[in-house]
Amino acid sequence: MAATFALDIVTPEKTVLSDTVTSVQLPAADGSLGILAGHAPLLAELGVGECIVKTSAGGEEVYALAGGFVEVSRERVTILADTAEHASEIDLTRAEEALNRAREMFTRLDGTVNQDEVNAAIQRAQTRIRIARGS
Amino acid sequence: MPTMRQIRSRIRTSKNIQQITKAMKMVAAARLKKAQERVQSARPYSEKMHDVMGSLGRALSGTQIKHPLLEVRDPAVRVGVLTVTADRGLCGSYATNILKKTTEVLAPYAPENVRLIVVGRKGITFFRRRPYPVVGEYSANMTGLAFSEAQEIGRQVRELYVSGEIDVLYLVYTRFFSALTQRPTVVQLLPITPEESLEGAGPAEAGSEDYLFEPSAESILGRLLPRYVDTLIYQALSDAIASEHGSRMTAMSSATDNAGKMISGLTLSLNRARQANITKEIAEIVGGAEALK
Repeated sequence: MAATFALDIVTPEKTVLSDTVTSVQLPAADGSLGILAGHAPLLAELGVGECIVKTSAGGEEVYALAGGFVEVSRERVTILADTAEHASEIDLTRAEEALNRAREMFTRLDGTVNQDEVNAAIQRAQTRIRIARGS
Repeated sequence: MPTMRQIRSRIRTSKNIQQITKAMKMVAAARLKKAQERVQSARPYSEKMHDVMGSLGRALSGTQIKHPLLEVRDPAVRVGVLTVTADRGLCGSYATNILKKTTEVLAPYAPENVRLIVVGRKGITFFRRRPYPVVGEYSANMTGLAFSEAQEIGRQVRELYVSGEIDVLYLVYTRFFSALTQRPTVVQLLPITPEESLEGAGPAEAGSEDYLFEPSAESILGRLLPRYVDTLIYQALSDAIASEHGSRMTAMSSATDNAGKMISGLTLSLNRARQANITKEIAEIVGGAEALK
């Protein structure tokens, strides 16, 4: 059996997950990041994307993450996410609406909206749609 | 001496009021419970955030940390105050206390050097009649506070600070201790005090780890500090909401008790008036019978 470690996913509003897992795959700011038990201590920025958790019971959980940090210490891994949604919680129609809204903002970009924010919104919506469809 | 009919109508009114205050008390109690849960569930995040700040502070302790949100300006002439008040009344001295505290904080500054950011309608109407310029007005969602609300406020105050419109920012909110105790509190939000946030996590534990930083410690700090401000605001908002519900619950509970006392007092005088009426009628009959003899 593979070595396990404790994983917590917390958002400002609540604790999303607290479990023993064998591996977790994260969207770091500059590329995907996989963590197994015994990883060196690490602090990393997170981007937008999917987070795949393999629990010690053998299950696989998928979360949509958007921004935040991950702290890997010897004993545990903590994900401080801005938002984290389990695949089953994602409302596909809402995500599609958000995507359309963001695209519309993108087409009439002027000085009033921040382009980075619009890009981030589009990326967020696309990730959520992809995860929701996949489950 | 009021007539029996007058007393009866007063009893009826008191009973109606009592029913309303009782209902409000129960609603406040239910909401307080939810708000308390929210305060609880926000705790792991802010604790962890604190830990991460501590590890970062240790990693960067040798170097000179530079970040716009850490830059202390001396003397601090222009002040920003973020005050969290209530949207609705009927919560005892809650709104009065927080506004009193805010006024205390503002007292040493000239109105033109002050920028106010007000959360809650009570505060907005209060400062409309005063010379202090209000640059931001918000209303917190009392039943389902979202982190994005705190972020929105956070964005504005950071902009004010970085652009130099304010030199220091205080946060005035009601800290929640229990359903019966809430205290108005003032904290300095900006500039972030490194002693508290970065080194406050205490000395490194035994076998403290050398962290790898991805992409770099400075870049993480740059992202972390604004988030730290948002977290503090979120905490203040959720504390304030819990306090407001707690305050309302206590106020409504004593209002219900007072209405009960009033009803029993009025019932007593109603009975007395009825008895006096009967005695008077008997006296009249006796008097009449006496006269017929």
